Formats: sequence, structure tokens, C-alpha cells
Amino acid sequence: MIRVARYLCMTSYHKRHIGRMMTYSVVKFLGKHCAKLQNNCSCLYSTSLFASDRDIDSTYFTFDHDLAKNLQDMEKLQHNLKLRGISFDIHQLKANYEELCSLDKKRSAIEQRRSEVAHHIAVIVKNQKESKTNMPGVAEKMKILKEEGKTLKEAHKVVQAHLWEVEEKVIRSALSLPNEVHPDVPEDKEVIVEDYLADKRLRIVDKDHHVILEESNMVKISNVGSRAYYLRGRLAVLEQELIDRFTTELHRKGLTMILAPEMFKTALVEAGGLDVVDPSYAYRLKHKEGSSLSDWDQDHMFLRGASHLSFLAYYARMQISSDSLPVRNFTVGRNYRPVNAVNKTLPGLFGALQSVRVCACTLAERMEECSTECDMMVQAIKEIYREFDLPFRIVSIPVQLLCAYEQKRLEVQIWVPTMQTYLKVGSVAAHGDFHSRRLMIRSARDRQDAVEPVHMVYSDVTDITTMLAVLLEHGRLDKYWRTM
Amino acid sequence: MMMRKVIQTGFFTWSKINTLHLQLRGIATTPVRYLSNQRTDTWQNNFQLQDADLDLDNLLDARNRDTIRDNITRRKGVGDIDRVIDLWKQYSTEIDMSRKEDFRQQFLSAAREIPNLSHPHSPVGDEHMSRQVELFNKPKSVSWPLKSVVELGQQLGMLRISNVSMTTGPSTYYFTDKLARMEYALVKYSVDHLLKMGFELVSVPDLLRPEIIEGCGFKTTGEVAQVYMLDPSRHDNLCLAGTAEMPLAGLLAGGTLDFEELPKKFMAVSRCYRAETSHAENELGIYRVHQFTKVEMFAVASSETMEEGNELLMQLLDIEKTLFGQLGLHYRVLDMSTAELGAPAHRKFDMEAWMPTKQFWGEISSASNCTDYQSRRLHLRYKSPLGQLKHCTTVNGTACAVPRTIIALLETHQNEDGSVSVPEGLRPYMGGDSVIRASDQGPKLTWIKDHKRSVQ
Repeated sequence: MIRVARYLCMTSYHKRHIGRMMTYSVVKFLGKHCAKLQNNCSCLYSTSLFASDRDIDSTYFTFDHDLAKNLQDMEKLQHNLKLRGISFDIHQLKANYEELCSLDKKRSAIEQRRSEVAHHIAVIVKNQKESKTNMPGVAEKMKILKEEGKTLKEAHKVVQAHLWEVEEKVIRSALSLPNEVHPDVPEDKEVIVEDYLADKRLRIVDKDHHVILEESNMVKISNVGSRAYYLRGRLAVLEQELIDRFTTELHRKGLTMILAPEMFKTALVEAGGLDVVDPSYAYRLKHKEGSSLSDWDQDHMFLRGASHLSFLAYYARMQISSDSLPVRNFTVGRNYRPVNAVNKTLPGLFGALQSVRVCACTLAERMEECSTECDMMVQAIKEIYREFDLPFRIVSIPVQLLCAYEQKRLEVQIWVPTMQTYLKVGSVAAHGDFHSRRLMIRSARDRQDAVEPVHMVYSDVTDITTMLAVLLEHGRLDKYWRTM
Repeated sequence: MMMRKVIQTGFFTWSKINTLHLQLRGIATTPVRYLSNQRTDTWQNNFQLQDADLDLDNLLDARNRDTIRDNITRRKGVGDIDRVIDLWKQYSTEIDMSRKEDFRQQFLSAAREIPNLSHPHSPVGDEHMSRQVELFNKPKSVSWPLKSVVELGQQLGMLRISNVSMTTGPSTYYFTDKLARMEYALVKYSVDHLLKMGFELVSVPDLLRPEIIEGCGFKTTGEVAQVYMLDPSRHDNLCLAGTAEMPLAGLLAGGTLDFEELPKKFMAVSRCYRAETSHAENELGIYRVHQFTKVEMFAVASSETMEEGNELLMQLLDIEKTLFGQLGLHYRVLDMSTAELGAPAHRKFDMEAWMPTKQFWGEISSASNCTDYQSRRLHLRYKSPLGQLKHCTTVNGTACAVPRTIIALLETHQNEDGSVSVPEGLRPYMGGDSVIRASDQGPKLTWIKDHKRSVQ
């Protein structure tokens, strides 16, 4: 039951992510019902990012929740939750947090007094040793101090236990709070920011995607794996050429390449905003035979590949010198996704579970820089896509469809002739300090300077596999895309 | 060669026996859905692979028993021909259908474990018996203390191997900046050469059904397995490919090629996932890692003269020599001893590069002739000039395993100031760079050791 409840609770927590894949009405429905469950189940929320000091478990990271600031403007927070369709009792959270702060003060005061009592006792003992005589009234004083020490010890135990209990509630609730919403984000429906070559959209297509794949003789759909496929000949060469084209362009624009592992541990996946319990979010690897782990065990490995997790893994628990910011990186590699509500409905290469992705990430010192960095990234991506001379558009995604970790998202959508619709091929999103607060990615000017979490702009620059499918549908395989 | 003659005159094949067995049980045999089905419903079809078409004439012939037993002993001792024959007898004489099926499964499992026959020229014995057949270039002599790849990479600010366990697990690494570009340069360099040599580039799936991997001769279960599997409680029964040889073999599995189109040569650029671990000092750093990029060659030939595979193996070896030669590495070619041949290999050559800092020969590539070992398990056949269906010969080789090639390159071409010269052959793929130097542009990062928290 607990497992089911956790699952439902996480589903609620991540329903914005699901929202990306479902229709708005379905999202609203899920939002409504899961939110109720979340409220009922919030005490069961589990995480690999927090372990109370009373547990034998420990975590690799400290969650910097920033509740003192977040709970200052309750109206803003309430509005954010409403826009995202999340039902969450923030007043309960605030009350719990205030209780936590009060308990913390109480604990500190007790610890302070215990320390003073211990000091007094030590002084008396020392004086006694030095004078080798019993001063009048000392025995009585010692007795009183020892009594007080005992009482304080008991009081500390009680306060500490209460504090741990409240802390668990507070941190687990805080972890389920979504990111802020950027004021530019549309509330109801997507907004087309820019439409490129709309007049060149192929309107009449007499073949479906599968027929085009079959007739090309360059794609083999196979069941050697789950929704597996092979690209052959020119199409496989084109894949390498496109990798080369995108990476060269990003390099020219001053981004530095990072090649990262494809597997990530539970805490990183969770801090990345993915649901580690729902199998449709990421492939989990089989653990060593004979061992039994809970879903939240930090030792689980997840296969995801090139994604925002690649950058998070690289910078986790790193302090970046402010002089180095902003840092702009990109990566390229395989991306893996399990079957989910959306990809199982997409045809052929559009619904493939393995693709080649080019992703970019900027880490900035301040939140205000995120907007500038987002604009720069959108501009850079547009310049690359224009070279393909294919109809594409930039779309601002409405708040209900944002993932919990996103403040805003602009999608690059490309025209797919056989589907007679635009399909996402890339995106640029502001993630703010959502991940860095969970993974201790911080910046400071120097050793004395206060450390602050950094702010992240993430971009799926392109999905090479989707691009190949689109180029194939447009009959555009002849152009030589390689830069060398 | 006597054994080979037996193979060619084969009559008993497992599929025939299997069909017979099913008919005896009154179960109709359904046609196998071969993987060549291009229709979209291929994804909906359950994956099916017939039982291995083992060479039973050869295995069950009493005259071959000593030869097979000797072969097993000379290799790693895996497989038991006496048990195979015993199980066959029990299977053949059993009348009870349920027990017969039980024996069939046991027989099949035991027979699949019998390794390929070794080439008569393969040195017999353990790894020390492997024979050096060629040596190329000379080690560079320098007057300063050499740095290891880890020291070089970290000083350049382009390699990270520390503090990775909590996020991506042990034996993982990051290449950044020019070292990351070097990975792609090596891939392009290898692919370009192979395209010129007539190889077809294939982009392959990395998640495969265990049957394909087992069919290539690799174990997916048990203690010796080096294969990652998805959690079966959450996902389909899938494994992560350890080398592109597996998906490339899967591409052809169940298919029939024309004699005229052979030999067929494929290559793939893929990520390789291996669960193997090592605590040997030489293997720390990026020598033995869980995930890496590799350009793999995979070729199929006919089996008319039984020499096609060996000729193809030599071709692959020549390609490897050209590729590594142009990188200015000091390397040698070894004809691997019988104990070093994996179960599928008939003959194997390893290329080892001199790792000057730690003063050892490190394997950077290999090439194997697997004769019909894999094609019998994966049902890969060709139509002979006389119209007979025969099993193909498969040959594979590594064109470039990136991390190990980078170790050899960095350590060999390092300069006294910690910079690394880029070999001429690679420069066009590195944007013309002739030297890699530490960049002052990279972010200044400090690992956060302490993570005590305050409740507020």
C-alpha cells in the first residue's frame, strides 16, 4: 500500500512532466485527482535526497530548501501552485516550518545551557583539584548543576526527537514544491513566438512515415530490442554529419563540450526532477543478484544518456568560482527513454526509444541572467536550424505543461509532412536553481564570500534521430552537412 | 581439418531435431518470424529466435570427442563434451515427453557451452603463450619524467575521474573541451578510413534481447556475465550491448544473404556498456571503464573454402595496423593463445600499444574470426553458388576503442610542459590543432567536501 501511495504521490509531484506528453484535459484531470492523493499521502513522500539524522541512512547531498524566502510571499507561491494545477497545503507547510525554526532555537538554547553547565562543573572540579580542599557550598552547587545537566539532557532528547519529526515533514514537503514560474509564460495555451518558412510546409503527402522508411532501404525496424531500429548507409553517415554540424556550430558559439556517462544514481535522477518510481521515466538497471533495495536506494543506476542529468552529474557538489560564470557547455550522445504515453503513439523514428541528442547548459550566477542566456540560446539554435531550410517554429509552452523543475520552456518544433503537424525537436528552458539547491551546485567569489546556488538554463538543442526522419520525409539527404 | 569436413556434410541440425521433437509431441511447428520483417508491426511482434542450429554431426561424432575435449582444455576449460554426449543419449532414448523436453533443454544448454575450435596456428596455453607477430614503431625516449593519462588529463583540465561515485558510479569519467573533441576526432578518423575501405556504416540499437547477446557467445547471466540488464520488474527483458558486434550480428540474424554479396563489411559507432570491474593499478583511471565509445568492424563471409574468414581477419588486421600506425603509436600484434580466445573465436589477434608511463603493453584493439559459431546461433545463412543454404563466417575487429586509444595517444605524445602533440593523421579532425594545451577558459571548480546542514 505504501508503495502504491508513494507512486501516486510521485505521480502527482511530477504531473507537469506527464503533462508534456498528454493533452491538456488529461493533465487537468490527473492534476485534480493526484493532488488530492498527494495531500492525503504527503506524509509518505519518500526521497533519496534527504535522510534525517536519526536514521542510519545518509545522503550525498544537502537540500538547500530556502523556505525562509519562499514562504515570505505566500500569495505568490499560492498563485504558482494554482497556475500549475497543484493542490498543496502551503499553510500547513508554513506552520510546520515555523515550528521547526522554533524547535531549532529551543534546541540551540538547551545546547548552549548544557555547554555552560558542563563548563561550570569543569571549573569547579579543576578548582577542587588545585586547592585540594572542599570549599563551602561547592558540593551543593555541584549537585544542583548535575541535576540541571540531567534535566537538560532529557529536554534535549525530547526536543531533538520532535525536531526530527517536524523536519522530515518540512523537507519532504519542500522537495515537492515546484519551481517558480517566469512571468512571460502563457497561462492557458502555447504561444507561437516565431514561425519560420511556414509557407514551405508540405501539405500533400501521399505516403505515411513507415512507407517512407521502408522505401528508403536505409531504416530497418527490428524487434531485437524494444522499438529498435537500425540506420544504414547514407542515413547512418548523415547521423554522423549532423552530430558534426551541431557540435561544430556550438563550439563556434563558444560552448565547451563535455562527454559524460549515460548512467546516473537515484539521488541525481530525483534531483533532476524525474520520477524514480514510475518506470516510464527512466530505465533502471537490474541490481546485483541477491540484494534487495528499496525504490529510493541511492545505489540504483538509471540509464538516461545525454540530458540535463549529464551536466548535473558533472557539477554536483561543486563550487564554481563566480569569475568563471556563466559557464556554457554542451554534450552529445545517446539518449534513452522507456515507452511512455506519448512515444508509443508516435510512428517509426519519431517514437524511437533511443536517439542521439545534442544538449546544452548554461550555469549563471544570478536568476536575472537566465532570461538573457535563454534568449542567446534560442538565437543560437535558430541560426543552426535556418540552415536546414525547413519549416520550424518557436513556441512558448503554457504553465500547465511545464515540468515541475522548469520556470519556462520554449520549444523548437519542426514540420513533419506525414503527420501534418509540428513536432518538438529541441527546447530551451530556464530551470533556475531547482537542481542546484538539491545537488549543492554553488558559486562564490572567494573563500570568504557567501555561497549561493547557481541558476541553470538547459537546452535540448536537437534530437538528431528526429531530424533524420524529417530530412528523410523532405527528401533532403543529399546535402553534405559535415563541416570538415 | 577433418572436423571441418564433418561440418560440411552436416545432416543433423538442431532445427531439424527440434521440428521432429515438436511433431512427436503433436505440436504444430509455426513459421519463425524472421527479423527482416520491415513492417511497423515488427515492434509489436514478440521476439523469437529458433534454438541454435548446432553442428550435431561434429559434436556427437565419437571420433571427434578427444579433439573437442583437448580444445576445451586448451581454452578456459568451459564446456563438457562428455556431458553433451551423455545428455544426447538420454534425450534420444527417453520416451516420456516431459522428461525428454527436460533433457533437450539440458543438452542444448551444455552443447552451447562448447567453444569454437581453435585455429591450428593459435599458440596453445595461457596468456603468456600468446605470440608477438609484429612490432611497429619505437618507444619515444625523453629526458623528463613521463606523466600518466590521469595526470595529463587533469592538468589540462579536460579529464575528470574523481568524486564521480555518488552520481554516475565508480569507473566513470568525463572528457571535456579538447579531450572530448579528440573522442569525436578519433571516431571521424576511423569512420572515414573504413568508408574508404568499403564498410557500410550502421547506427545500432544499444538495448538488446538477451538471445542476441547469447547468440554472439556472451553470457548474460551468472557470475561471469559482464552484461548490464534492465530491471525486469519494471522493463522488458533487455540487456545493454557491450560491443556493437552484438547489434550488428542482430541486424543479420535470421537472414539469408546471396553468395555474390559476400563478404559484407559493416561498421558501427556505439557506446559500449560493461559491468566488469578491476582493482589492478594499471586498470584504474580510464583503462577499464563501464561505458565507452567504440568504432567496431563486423564482417560476414561465405564458408566455401573455410579460408574466407581467415582472409577477412587479415584484412581487418591490416586496417587496424593502418589506423594505429598513422597515430604514431608504438604497438605490437599478438596471435592470441588458446586460453585467451573467448568461446566464439576460432582465432584472435590483439593489438597492444605501449603505455610508456606505467611501462606496460595495453590492449587497444582485437580482431577475431568466429567461423560459423555465431551464425549457427543466430541463423545467419547464405545461399551458396549451388543453391545450398550454409552458415556464414563472421569476423569482428575494433577500429577504435576511444579511452584506451586516448591513453596511448596522450602518454606517447606528451611534451615536457604537460601539453600533448596531436599526431598528424588526427589534426584534420581536430580543427587543425597540432597541440593540446591547458585552457585558462575553463571554470574554476572546487569539490564541496562538507555537507552538514542547518535545519533552517
